[in-house]
Amino acid sequence: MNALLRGLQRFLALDRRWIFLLMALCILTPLIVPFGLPFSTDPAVENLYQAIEDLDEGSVVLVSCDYDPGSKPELQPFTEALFRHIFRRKLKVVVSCLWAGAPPLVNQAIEQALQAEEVKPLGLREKIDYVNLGYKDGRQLAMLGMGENIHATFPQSYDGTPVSQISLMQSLRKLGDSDLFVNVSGGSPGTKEWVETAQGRFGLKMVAACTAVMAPDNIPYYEAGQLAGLAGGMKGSADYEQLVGVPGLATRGMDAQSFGHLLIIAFIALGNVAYFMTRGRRN
Amino acid sequence: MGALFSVEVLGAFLVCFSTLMIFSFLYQDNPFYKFAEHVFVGVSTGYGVVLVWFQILRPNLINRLLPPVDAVRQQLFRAGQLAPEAYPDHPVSLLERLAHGQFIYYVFLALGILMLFKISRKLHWLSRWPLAYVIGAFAGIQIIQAAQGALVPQLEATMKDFSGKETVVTAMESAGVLPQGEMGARRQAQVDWIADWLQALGEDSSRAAAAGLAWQGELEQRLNGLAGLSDIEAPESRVREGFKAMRVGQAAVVGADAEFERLLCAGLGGMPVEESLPAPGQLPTTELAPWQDRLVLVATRVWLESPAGRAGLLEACGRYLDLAPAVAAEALAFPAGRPPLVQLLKSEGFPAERQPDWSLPVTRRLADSLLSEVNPRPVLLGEWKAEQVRNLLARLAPLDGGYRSELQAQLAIFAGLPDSARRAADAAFLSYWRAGVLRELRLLRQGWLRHTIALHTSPDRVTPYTRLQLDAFRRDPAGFLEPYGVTGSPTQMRVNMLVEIFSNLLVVIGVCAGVFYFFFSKKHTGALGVVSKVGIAFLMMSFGASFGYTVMGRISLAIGRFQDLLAWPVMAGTALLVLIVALYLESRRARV
Repeated sequence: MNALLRGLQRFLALDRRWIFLLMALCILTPLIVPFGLPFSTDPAVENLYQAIEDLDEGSVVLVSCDYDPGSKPELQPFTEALFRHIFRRKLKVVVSCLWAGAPPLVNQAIEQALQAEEVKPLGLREKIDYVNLGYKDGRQLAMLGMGENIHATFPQSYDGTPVSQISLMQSLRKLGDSDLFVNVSGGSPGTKEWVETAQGRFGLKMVAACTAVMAPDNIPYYEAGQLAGLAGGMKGSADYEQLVGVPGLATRGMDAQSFGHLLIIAFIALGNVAYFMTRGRRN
Repeated sequence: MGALFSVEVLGAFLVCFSTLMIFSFLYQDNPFYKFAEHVFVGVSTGYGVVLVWFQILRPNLINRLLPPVDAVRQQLFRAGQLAPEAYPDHPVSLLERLAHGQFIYYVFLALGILMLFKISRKLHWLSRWPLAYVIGAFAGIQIIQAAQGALVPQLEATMKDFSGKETVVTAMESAGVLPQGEMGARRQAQVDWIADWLQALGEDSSRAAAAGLAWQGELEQRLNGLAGLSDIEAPESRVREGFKAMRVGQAAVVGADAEFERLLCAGLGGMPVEESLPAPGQLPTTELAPWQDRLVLVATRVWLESPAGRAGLLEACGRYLDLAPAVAAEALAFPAGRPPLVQLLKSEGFPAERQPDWSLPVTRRLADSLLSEVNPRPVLLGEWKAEQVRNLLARLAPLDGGYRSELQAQLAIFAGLPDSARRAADAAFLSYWRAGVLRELRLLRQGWLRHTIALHTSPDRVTPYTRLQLDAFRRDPAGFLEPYGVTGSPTQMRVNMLVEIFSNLLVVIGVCAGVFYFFFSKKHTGALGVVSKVGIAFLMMSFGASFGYTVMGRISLAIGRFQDLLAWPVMAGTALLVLIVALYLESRRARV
């Protein structure tokens, strides 16, 4: 018994760098040797997928990508799958960004989607089937501006083309002209602000993908019906990849995620047991 | 050797090495981590400055104060001051560019410059002006947005039915007690159809007027009844939205009634000669039935006043009259020289019974004509109506069984159709009776069940065919309901419902206890102490759940970084080795 208690005491005094090392191993091992653990898709993500499926061919989807490389692991897989889904369904897409770091990530995702087997033969053309409007400062002011006149808010696209010369933008003059609004959000301004503006004020049908940290704040919007679908964190992205049928980085990361969670649960349980068992001895 | 030192390889090595340098902080603080951190901050700042210039300042301020040469040429060209042939070479001076700028932006430039006075000790107060402008604008925007986008919808969402019926059905469907696919899809189809139709009513003011002026009460009552069947489904909000839209549409049209009348009068009789129609022989030949043509013409006169109306009508005609858009477009083409519409109708030889009653108010006439398309009312009788009903039945074919049958029955009754319609009515009634039984079973209200059965089996509502079906149900209730998948025991359903109610109560207790915890005007002792402790427990659970998501997010970030490293495994391994050696040498140097 004494040996056990001594062991537990040593565990409590464990150098945290061992925990970091174990966590790194737990994440790295499944990435090198995938286990393919099963996971089920979340209904909120299924609804998000369905919202896009419900659109008629040629509908215009407005996507606001509000994240930067800091949220790339969680949100970039979603964005890539989203564009692939949109292109495959022959929908038009206009992308805007309220985060400065987003436009290059958007271009990467679009390029990746355009290279997909089922998308390539469609011969999609920039500024006719898709356009990246780039970054706009101003947070909610920019959102409001888009609600009234996107052309005034984004006078030119990311590559500098005046919006008046972009054929796709002729049918999209304000937020309300789009058939669906998708927000990919890594923080603020993001889903909360867009729900209040695009959905609350302009009445758009809206779905969102956000980082895991933001998910608890955004779930009430989904529960209240303000969001028609919601994908939270890497798990949400993996769910969406599964639904679209293009398992990518997020799906591959699910094993590592599960192992990481198991390790944390084990440490929490063990830490609590050690704490309570050695309480008397420490006193 | 050349490939070994290519830009790509060097780039990959730098990416891996920088990532690992940042990670090295987990071991201990060291100069390599600091170097990587400073590089990151520097690169981010540089990127930010370039971005702000190219994406914000240049397009939004500079180009508006000092328009590019091309933009000035375009303005001159539009104003007729520049010939097309001179366009490409027309010289534009700096002064000309300044003169074509938008002067209001000098105000914003000035405000921006005032911000820079923040660094001045004497004049820093000047920076308060732009700040006041920004804060004031944001406060104004936030108040409205928070109320419209968060407060009201979230409050609305909390006003839930606590009987558990909303969620118990979902739970039972999930548990396989109720047929998830079939019932869900059916109710979904019904709700969607109603919602879409109502939405269309709201958007299309002529149909909204028709419904609003002639049929509002009946329509709302019936749709409410049908929507009531679906109140256990989330899309209920769509139905509500539909009603809202319809009311808005009605209000708009009724509010503009005088204008509406004027337009219709103009369309039906008082049309100016210069806008009149061509001779009957020159009318476009289409597949339109005369009544369709009449409908199109009447409606067109109302709608032609606005371009949006014209586009909407084209679309509506295509959708509701089974016309190809091209045919509708042809029918809507109004070349100059057409005679007044009344003359046209007479000259086309419309039978007397198909002519509208001109003595009625004109809006009523329009309502009747449009309603005859949506749901035939006893305005135009006989063979035509039978044809209408058949037409509608065919159009309803893709709809779900239960709802279609109900509509079939109603249409049949309206049209006074014989036996076939009777059978349809029976089928509809039976379908609804089954739905009623199912609903009562779900809600486990035996009293309601008895009431519903009594209601649906009263002598004035039962036809011989229905009687046979009822007998079949009495003989073998399980077999009768089996196609609907009602196989779970009532006990099971009761337990599920209780669990759901308990869960709802738990939410209420948690919210109230949490609020009491934050009540600090009284010491937390006695009953208040107990309640606030319960509140703390709920708050901890809530924080725990949020923490779980945070952990998930952080692990995702680590996964992302490792995935990046694994994209170049050799480079990552080399960088790791280099970093370990460098750290070792650095620690030795520090010891010395």
